[in-house]
Amino acid sequence: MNTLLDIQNLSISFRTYRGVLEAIHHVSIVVNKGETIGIVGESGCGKSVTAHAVMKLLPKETAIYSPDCKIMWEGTNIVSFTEQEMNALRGQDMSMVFQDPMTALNPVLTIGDQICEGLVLHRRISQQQALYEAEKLLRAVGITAPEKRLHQYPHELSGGMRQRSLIAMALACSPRLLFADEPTTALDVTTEAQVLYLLRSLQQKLGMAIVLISHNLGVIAQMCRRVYVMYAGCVVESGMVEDIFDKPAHPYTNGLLASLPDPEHKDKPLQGISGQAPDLFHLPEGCRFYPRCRHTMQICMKQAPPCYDLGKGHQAACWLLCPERGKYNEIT
Amino acid sequence: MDTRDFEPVDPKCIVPIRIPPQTLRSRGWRQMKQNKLALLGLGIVVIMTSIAIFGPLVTSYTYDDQDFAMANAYPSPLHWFGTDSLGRDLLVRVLYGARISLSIGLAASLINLFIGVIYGGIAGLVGGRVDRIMMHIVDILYSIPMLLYVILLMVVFKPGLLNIYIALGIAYWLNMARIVRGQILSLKKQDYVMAARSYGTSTWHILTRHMIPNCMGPIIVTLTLSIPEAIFTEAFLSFIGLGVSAPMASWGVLTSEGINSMRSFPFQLIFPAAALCITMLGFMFLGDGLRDALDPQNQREGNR
Amino acid sequence: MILYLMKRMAGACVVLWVIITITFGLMHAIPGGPFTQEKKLPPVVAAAVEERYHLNDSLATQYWDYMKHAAALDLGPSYKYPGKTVNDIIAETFPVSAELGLISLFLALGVGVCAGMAAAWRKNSWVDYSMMVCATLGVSVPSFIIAAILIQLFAFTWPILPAAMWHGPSYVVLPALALAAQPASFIMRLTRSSILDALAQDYIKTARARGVGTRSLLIHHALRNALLPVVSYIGPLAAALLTGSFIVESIFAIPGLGRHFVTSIYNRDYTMILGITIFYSFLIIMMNLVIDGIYPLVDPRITLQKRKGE
Repeated sequence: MNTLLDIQNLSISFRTYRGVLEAIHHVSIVVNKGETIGIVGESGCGKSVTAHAVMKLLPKETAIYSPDCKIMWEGTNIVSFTEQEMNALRGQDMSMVFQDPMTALNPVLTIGDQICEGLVLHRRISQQQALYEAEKLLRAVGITAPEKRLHQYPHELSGGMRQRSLIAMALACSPRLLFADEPTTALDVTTEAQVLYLLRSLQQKLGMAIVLISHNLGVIAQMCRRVYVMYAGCVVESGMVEDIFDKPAHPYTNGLLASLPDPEHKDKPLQGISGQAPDLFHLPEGCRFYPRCRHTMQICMKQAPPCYDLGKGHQAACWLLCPERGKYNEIT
Repeated sequence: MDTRDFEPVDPKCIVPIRIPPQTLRSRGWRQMKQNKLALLGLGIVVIMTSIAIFGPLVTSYTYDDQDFAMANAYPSPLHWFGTDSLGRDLLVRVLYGARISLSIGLAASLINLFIGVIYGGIAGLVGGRVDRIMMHIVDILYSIPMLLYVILLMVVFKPGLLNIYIALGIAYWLNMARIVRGQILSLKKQDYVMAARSYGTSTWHILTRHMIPNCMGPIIVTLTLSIPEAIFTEAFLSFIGLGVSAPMASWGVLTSEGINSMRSFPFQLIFPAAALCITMLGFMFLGDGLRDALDPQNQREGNR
Repeated sequence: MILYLMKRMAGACVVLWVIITITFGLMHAIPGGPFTQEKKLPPVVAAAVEERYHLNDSLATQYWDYMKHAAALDLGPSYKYPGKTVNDIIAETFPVSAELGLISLFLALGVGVCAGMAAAWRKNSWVDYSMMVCATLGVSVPSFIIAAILIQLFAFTWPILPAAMWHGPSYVVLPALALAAQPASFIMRLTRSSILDALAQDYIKTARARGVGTRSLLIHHALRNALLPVVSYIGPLAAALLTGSFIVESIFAIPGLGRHFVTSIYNRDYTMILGITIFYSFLIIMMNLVIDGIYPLVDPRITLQKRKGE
């Protein structure tokens, strides 16, 4: 079976002091063996929540999974897995790299301690052996003098080194799926390039799948084969990278791409998407994007659009694509 | 669905969804309302304060009415809380005690607040060497066991209500000063302060419109939590014999008198002790609730 | 590291000097204070005081003299007990207080930390709520009331423990409980909230993402971070136990330094009050210094950084 992860119809709500908030709504994502997919969207659109939901890292007391959703990991539905069963999966089969390397590392434990923990836990090897493996891992992620680094504390390393250590920790047990939650957002551009290159080379060596979450379209274009575009908790468009970037079907995707500065036409004014992301407590009726869309139609304000298939795996949820509209044209 | 559904909508007709503005106060208040203990604390504080203000006005005895014939009487319809060893009505004494203890708590805390805010504010605002020197002084003073020095002050100054206000007030401002200074320092670095400065807002305006409102949360919390500390310190002093002078009585004095007669007349301890404990609890619940609600760092959901 | 310790020691000396100066100033600068000639003292004591304090000399000389004596650890004669010096009395009574204090310290730390851990582990369960209620009561009910309740319950209603005096191991139980109650409650609340804070941090999420189990998360990851504020609190804890001992020793009639301090206040035995205050201050400063020395061992972030008095 080629499919590693199949998220079907996932909706997550949170209990907050203001009431119940639905963070993601009917999200469906498929990840196959060895491929890199990207999830792109603005801050707060639910990308991180999706990844955390799969790995069951959301706070237990406040997160509610919708009853009809399925998260199929290699054919098994893991929604109802207990904490113990998830612990067996986490680190070994699926793993995550987080955004902020400073806070993601425990300040009172050495780097070596933190890497070895996963190794000892999952591979059941001795601490000595684990340290040896850890050193190899640090070298593989490009950290110089790994023997020294093993015994150092996080605050003694630079931002780039910390992020590499995090990657080493995540890959310690060679997981088959890696969630990279904005792994380079906190890094400067040169370090970012190095880390991305590292991720790609490790992926080729280990044959693992990566779910790359970012709000940076450039990073997504570079690294991913397929992309999911999310807005206000929903997947609005998905497809191969070329289709999304060359022929975007959803007005939001179009707006995102149009807002990128164009170095070839320097005198073109910068275009943004008017308005703001909606407050999830006060969502508009109908399509969630209509207040900011330039092509709003009557029906957009009343009903949420279903997902339309445009062929070759390219899908978008927009009423503009409805075949009953009469004319079907690509949006320019 | 028909063709009319697909008619484009004029963008100008789309009414943006109005999100009601959320100030810190409204969020804080909403969170407070959910915190039952904090509301209970607020209720207790309000009740106790009213008792302190109005209580002694509605009783028929005064706190130094002695009636030896009725000394050490058990609670009865004549004396709801009984009497003490000199025949004074205990209910009235407890009510007056409310006045004294609460006024001590409030006065000492306010003096602490005043000194602390000014000291911390200056240190934080001026910054640089002045700040460092002022904070060295605070550090030195912080290492000194303040209670000992309050005791010393009371020994030297002779016990009395005014002296208690002063002694407590000048000893415990350190914490407030540190907090205020910390707040102002971190606020100074905030981008919106720089932004305000960059379009020419005056320093006074920045202070009053931007900084002080952001400090209010921790200041209020510290104030609320320092009131029971002051009351407790006063009780401690009374126990040692350095509290208010007879016949005036704070709850501390009443309790320590009560301990002496605990075996024979337990009610003489129970009533003032209960009043003291309930009030302290009330302030603590209120202070905890305020801290959960107002401290901006605690704005994460599900954090208790 | 050595430099850091030396800086702290220098700071401690400064604090001590400030303390002695303030104490001296309080005693002398107030008109009608303890060293005025109008005080009627027994001749023996008056002579000793006269000789010792050079009351006829200028204030500056007196101050210098006092400093010299204090540096030599000589705290002067007692007003109340002719023939005995303050040092004598401290030597007699302090060991008792120290014993009670240490027992209470370990009790407060042990119970506080364990209860805090239990409450955080079973957050929002009945265990948590009942512990929090106990802790809130413990923090807001003054220690003399707790002592009174303990005596009433365990010495009279169920006479299983002695109510007062200090004659053997069973005499320690009630006083230690009364003394440790408030600090233990505070430590319990502190531990609980700092564990919960630690558990909310990102590194816990990272560890969970590696598949680390809940128990290991709590003990191996969160606890080491959560205990840092508790270690910082040991200094103020010692101070609290010290001042708490005044009350507890008085109620339980324990022949310790705390009770002696209280009776000195009652007797207006000024030299004693002065001397004991300085002794206590010295103790607390030493305790803080020790904690400052220990803290870098526990928190690796501090070792290599310069700590600026915060």
